[in-house]
Amino acid sequence: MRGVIDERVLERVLSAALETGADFADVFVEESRTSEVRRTDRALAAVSDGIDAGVGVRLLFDGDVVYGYTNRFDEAALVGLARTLGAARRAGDGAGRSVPLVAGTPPGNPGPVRRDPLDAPKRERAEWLARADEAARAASTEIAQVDASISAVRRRIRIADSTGLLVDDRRTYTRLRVSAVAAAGGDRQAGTVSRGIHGGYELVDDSDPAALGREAADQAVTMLHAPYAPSGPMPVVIENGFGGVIFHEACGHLLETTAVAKKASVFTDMLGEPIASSVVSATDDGTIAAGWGSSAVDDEGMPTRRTELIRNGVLTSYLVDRVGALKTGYAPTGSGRRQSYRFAPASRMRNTFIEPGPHSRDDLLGRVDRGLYAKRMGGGSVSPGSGEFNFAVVEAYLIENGRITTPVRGATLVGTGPEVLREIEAVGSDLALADGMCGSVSGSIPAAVGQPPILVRRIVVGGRA
Amino acid sequence: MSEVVRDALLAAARARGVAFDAVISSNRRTSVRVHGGRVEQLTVAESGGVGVRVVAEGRTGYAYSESTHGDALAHALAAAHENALLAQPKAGADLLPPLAAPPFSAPANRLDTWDTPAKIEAALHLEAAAKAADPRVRVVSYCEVGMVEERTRVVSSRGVDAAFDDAVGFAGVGAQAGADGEQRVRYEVKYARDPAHIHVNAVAAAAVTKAVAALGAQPISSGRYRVVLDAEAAADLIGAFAGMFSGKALEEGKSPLVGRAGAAVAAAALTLIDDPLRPGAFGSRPFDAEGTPARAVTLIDRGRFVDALHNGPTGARAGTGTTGHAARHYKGELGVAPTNLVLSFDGPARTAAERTAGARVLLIDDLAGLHAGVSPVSGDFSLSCSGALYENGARRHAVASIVVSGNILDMLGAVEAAGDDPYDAPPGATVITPSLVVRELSIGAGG
Repeated sequence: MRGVIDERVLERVLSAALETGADFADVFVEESRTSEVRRTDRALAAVSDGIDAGVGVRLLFDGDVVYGYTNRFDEAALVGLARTLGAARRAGDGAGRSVPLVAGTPPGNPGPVRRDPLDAPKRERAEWLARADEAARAASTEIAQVDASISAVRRRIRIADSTGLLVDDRRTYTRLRVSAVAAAGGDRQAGTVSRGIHGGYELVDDSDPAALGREAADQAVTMLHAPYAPSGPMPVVIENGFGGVIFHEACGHLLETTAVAKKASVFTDMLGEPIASSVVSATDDGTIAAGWGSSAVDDEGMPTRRTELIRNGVLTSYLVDRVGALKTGYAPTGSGRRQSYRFAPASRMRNTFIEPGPHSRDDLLGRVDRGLYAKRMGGGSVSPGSGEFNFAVVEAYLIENGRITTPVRGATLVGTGPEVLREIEAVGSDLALADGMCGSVSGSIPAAVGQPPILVRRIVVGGRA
Repeated sequence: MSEVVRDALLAAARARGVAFDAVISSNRRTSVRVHGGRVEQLTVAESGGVGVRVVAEGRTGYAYSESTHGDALAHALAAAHENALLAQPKAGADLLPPLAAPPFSAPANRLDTWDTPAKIEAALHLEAAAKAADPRVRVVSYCEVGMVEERTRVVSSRGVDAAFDDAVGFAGVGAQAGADGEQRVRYEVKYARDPAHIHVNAVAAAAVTKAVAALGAQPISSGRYRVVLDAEAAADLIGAFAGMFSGKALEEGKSPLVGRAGAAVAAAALTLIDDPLRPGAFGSRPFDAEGTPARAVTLIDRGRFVDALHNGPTGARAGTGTTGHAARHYKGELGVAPTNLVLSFDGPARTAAERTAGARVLLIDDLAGLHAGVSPVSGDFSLSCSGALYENGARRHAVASIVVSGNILDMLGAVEAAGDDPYDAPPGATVITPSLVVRELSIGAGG
């Protein structure tokens, strides 16, 4: 592949970078092959393939970053880019030294591929999608439209830096998605299910298209007939899996050194202090086998690891990349991540989840007289400086006298991270993770969220007043 | 460079005997992010890609490549052809012939005078100005100055060959203000094609004014409120539903406007036009992603939904023909998208004081969660927001972490007045609107 740039060339690029006065430099080489098959309107709507190919060059000057990227792979272009970056910084002459690279061996690959998704025949993928489509439509006469897709990307990455590090990594991601629209009387609602792994086509082989189609359809039809959610503060039981997006937004982003180093996070300088209810322990783990956010090494070439963030409510670690380590003094956690060569790495989450507690789901529900059961969360966002967050709930039910009763639509949960972490009253035992895409300063990356079911004592629900 | 790519694609297509079109994109970016009086990140980059669409026997296939070597382009063309043969035939798939473009006043651009040292100086000045603007500014969490230059070329085997260059500079800052344990962050970004129009002191002052005004938030009770959406919030909210006018969403049953052609969907005084030729607007362009010349389309005429936006295939199937609104990133499929959605309201333009007059009025000036809290299919929204409560025309206090909910068509139908404060959409957004006074919206709050 063109993406593998010879290590002698990389050495000369890094040497040129150091000649500008940079005290550190790295090169991120990427070639990705993508493939998607998408069905809509009862027909195969789009079949596409693509190649992403580029190189990112980063120079550090006492922790300050100069970054550039190009689609060119030739030595002249890359050496020229390194010099341009140094000149843009108005850097002086550096001690030009050679950079002998030493090829490293990544630790065990957390994303083994049983079947390469790009080798799976497209007709086979199309047939799987058709089965999901048919099952969704068969689930209800109110299903008016079904979209379904299988997408895959196979990334080949080479990272070299001026400490002599040279590491190659292969990452294959496979994702499937089924979405159904239910319509009646001018009203329409959508239901969506998705699954993703850092792995191969075995995800599709191991998934039942009919079950996923029915799940999407059931969600859409249930919400079609649901009244709007009530408004105001109330207790909320948030289901496991993608429910973990609340911890991801309300806490995880606030622990990234991208915000902490600027003192732009409400959790800055709080290591060793209680930041959550004592029932909360949480982890960010980049090593989970086939984990959507796992990788052997991060995008700075450092082995990823399991990082305990909170133990019994007490903050135990931030998420630290190379620049974050330079600026805060905290040890790197293998958390430097980026969407592609177009982004300089930044501290980011991998697979982030609340650890399981002792309670059954029924225990949690039984503690609520009147509240909301958030079965399926949508996306959300947070402002790190204030900690204000918001989450959409795409499938919700009322809890009345400890029981799940009426489905309700249109609920959004709002609050601040510190508040909601303190308001977690009880944590269930049934941990599950789910795939999502996380957008931040270094682009959109695969990141898993997770938790067991949790009971939040009080949270503001926005429905219809 | 795009001429070389064009010629290579045309040669490869002739050799293979296929009909195709392609979007060829390239861009250059220079940006400076500063923090604490230092250049935190300086980015200098060039990149691009080629997206190929092949149409064969009514079937469409796609492929893209970020490598522009001849063999990579031939491979992309072959992959798109093979993908087309797998897809099912669909009416209206044929490539469009070339048409003469309308007069287009290319935006004047003076960004070539803005070198990297000047951007660094502007960014450092911007951060310092934000810090100095008010003692309650604790942190400047974001400060960036930069520019992006883009070239887009659309070519096809039917003879389409159209190119368009644009560039935009920007200066943005996020100010975090604090008092009595409360923290609020607000952003301001100014875009311009002439660096002389980017006044960093004004950008800093705007962000700080918003952040400081957000302090002192007090709880309010849930209920139905008369609401003023300031111009930016109105643009953000309507922009989140811009896809409902897409002929593709309509034919797939994924728009709240399905079955509403000719019906009243907004207040009778409200008109919404998509105008790709609006001089100076950031969404303007002379042609679309199929090379079709751009033209303005009225979508809502005095409250009635009168027309949708189309690309070639959706226009053919709808029987209207394309409206010149094909949209496509080189990595993606052919879609439909607006350019500059211009909202006008037939009535007196209300001053800020007139807009907030009334017994109880909620001014919303910041919306969050737009990527998650809207349903493009139903038109429902439920969004975190903040602003201020007014009673009997007087500002009482800021409000934060509340939720505004409704349906976009109900909201457009409840617009009672518009402000005297037109807002131009930044690049990547679409809606140009004044602030809007909405009779009633649902508010969820913790008080």
